[in-house]
Amino acid sequence: MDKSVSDIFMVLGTRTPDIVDLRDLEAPEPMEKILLACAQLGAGEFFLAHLPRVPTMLFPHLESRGLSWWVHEEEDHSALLLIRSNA
Amino acid sequence: MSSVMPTGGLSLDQAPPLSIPAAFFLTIPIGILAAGCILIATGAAALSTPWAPQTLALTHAGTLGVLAMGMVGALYQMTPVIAGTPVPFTRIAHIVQALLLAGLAGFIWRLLGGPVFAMSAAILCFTIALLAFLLPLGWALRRPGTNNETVQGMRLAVVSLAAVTLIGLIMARGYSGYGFPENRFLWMQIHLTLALLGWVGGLIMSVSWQVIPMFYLAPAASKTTMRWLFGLLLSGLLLPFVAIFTGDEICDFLTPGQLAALGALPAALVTWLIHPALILRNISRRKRKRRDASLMFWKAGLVNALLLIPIAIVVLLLPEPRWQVLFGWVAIWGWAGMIMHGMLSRIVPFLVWFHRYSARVGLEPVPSMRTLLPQQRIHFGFVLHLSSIVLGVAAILIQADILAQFTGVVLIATAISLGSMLIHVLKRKSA
Repeated sequence: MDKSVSDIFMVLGTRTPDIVDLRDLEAPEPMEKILLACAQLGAGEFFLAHLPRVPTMLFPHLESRGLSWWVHEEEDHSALLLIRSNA
Repeated sequence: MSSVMPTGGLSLDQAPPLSIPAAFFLTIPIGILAAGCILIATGAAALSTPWAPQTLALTHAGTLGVLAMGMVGALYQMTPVIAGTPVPFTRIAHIVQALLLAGLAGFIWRLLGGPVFAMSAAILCFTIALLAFLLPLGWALRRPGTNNETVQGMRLAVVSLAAVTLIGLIMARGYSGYGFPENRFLWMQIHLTLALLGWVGGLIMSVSWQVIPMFYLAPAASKTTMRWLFGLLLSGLLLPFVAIFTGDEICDFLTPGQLAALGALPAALVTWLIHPALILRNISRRKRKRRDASLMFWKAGLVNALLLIPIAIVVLLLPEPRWQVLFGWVAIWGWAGMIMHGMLSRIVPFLVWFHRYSARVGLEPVPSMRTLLPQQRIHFGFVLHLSSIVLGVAAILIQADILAQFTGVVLIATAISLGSMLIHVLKRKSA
C-alpha cells in the first residue's frame, strides 16, 4: 500500500480507522468477520478491512443491510474494503 | 453505491437458486454407480481396448455421467458470479439434466447390447439437452460483465463442449444404424483432445485460478502466466484440425490420427504438466497450512495429471491397447474425477452456507461452514476414490475379471459415500 487509506478513501477525511487484516482467512471466513463487525457499527462509524481479494459475493449483503461501501484493489489483487453504517 | 473501483454489479438475484447446481451434483453418484455396475457386469472386457462398446459405455458413464454433470451444474452457478452476467432461462436447467440422464441411459444401454433405437433416442436427448444448455450459457458468456482469465477459460471450455458434442453425436450415429465417419480414428482423436483438454482441462484450469487462492490461501498465478497457458492451450486445441486437411499427403510416416495427437501437444503439456506443477507449487506455498481433506483431492488429482504425459509416451511406444485404456482411466477418474470430487466437498458446503446462512450472520447465531460437513466424511470419500483408482490401474494392467469387478464394487462404495455426503450437506435447513 503506497498511499495512506485517507488518500485512497477520500470519504474518510482526517479519520484513520484501524485496518483489520483478513488476508489470512479462507472463504467464507472474511465475509463472516465483516458481517459480524458491521452488526456492531454505530451510525456513521466506519469499518476498514484488508481482504485477500475483492469480495464480490459480500456486496449484495452490504447493500441489503443498508451499508455504504468502497473498495480498492491493490496490485497483488488484495482489496481494501471500507464500510460505513448509515443507520 | 459508490466505489473506488467498479465491481461488476453482482446481485444475489443473478445467482441461480441452489436447487439448480445441487440437482446436477446429486446425479454425479448415479454416474459413478453406473460405471461400477458396468465393471461388475463386463469385468476386464471393459478395460482391454478403447474401441470395445463396453469400454465406450464405461468411459461415457465417467465423462457424461460424472464430469459433465458436475461441470454443467458448476457453470450454471459460476457464470453469474464470476462473469457477472445471469444465464437466461435457468429454469430449463432441470430439463437439460433430465435429458442428459435419459441420453446417457440410452447410450449405455445400446453399447451394452440394447436395441438400435436406444442410441437414436440418446442422440436426440443429447442434442436437445446441449442446445438448451449451450445457447443460454453462450449468450451469457458472449458479453460478460468481467472478462478475466477465468471467464476466458470458461468460454473456451464451452466452445470445446459444443465441438465435442457435435463430433460425438456424428460418431454415435455409427451405433444407430448409420455408418461411422470415414477415418474414425482421426475424429476420435479430435473428440478426445477437445473433450479432455478443451472442455475438462479448460474448465479445471480456469476454475483453479479462482478457487485455489480463495479456498486454500495459495498464491495466485500471475496474469502473464495465465495468459501464456491459455494461449498454449488454445493452440493445442486448434492444431489437431490441421490433420483433417492434410490427409496422408504431408506426413508419410504419421497417420492423420497421430498427427492430430501431435498437434494437441502444447495443450497436453499445459494441462498435464505445467498447470499441475504450478498449482502444486502454489499449494505448497500456502499462507496458512490448515488441514483440509478437500485439498488432498486436488493434490492427488494434480499428481495423477503429471502421470499422464509418461503414460501417453508409453501409449505411443507400445501398441497394446490396454495402455490407451489406462490413459483414459487415469485422466477421467484419476485426474478430472478426483479434482471434481474434492471440489464438491468444498463448494457444496460453501454454497449451502452462502445461500442459507450468510444473510443472517451478525443478526443471529449461524453455524460456520466447516461444521456443515465433517472432515472425516471427506477423508473417507478420498480413501475410497483413491482405492478405486489403484484397483482400476491393477485391473487394466493384469486384465483380471475379478480385479475389474472389485474395482466396480469400490466405485459403487465411492458413489454411496459421495451421495450421502452431498445429501448430508444439502439437507441442512436454514431454520
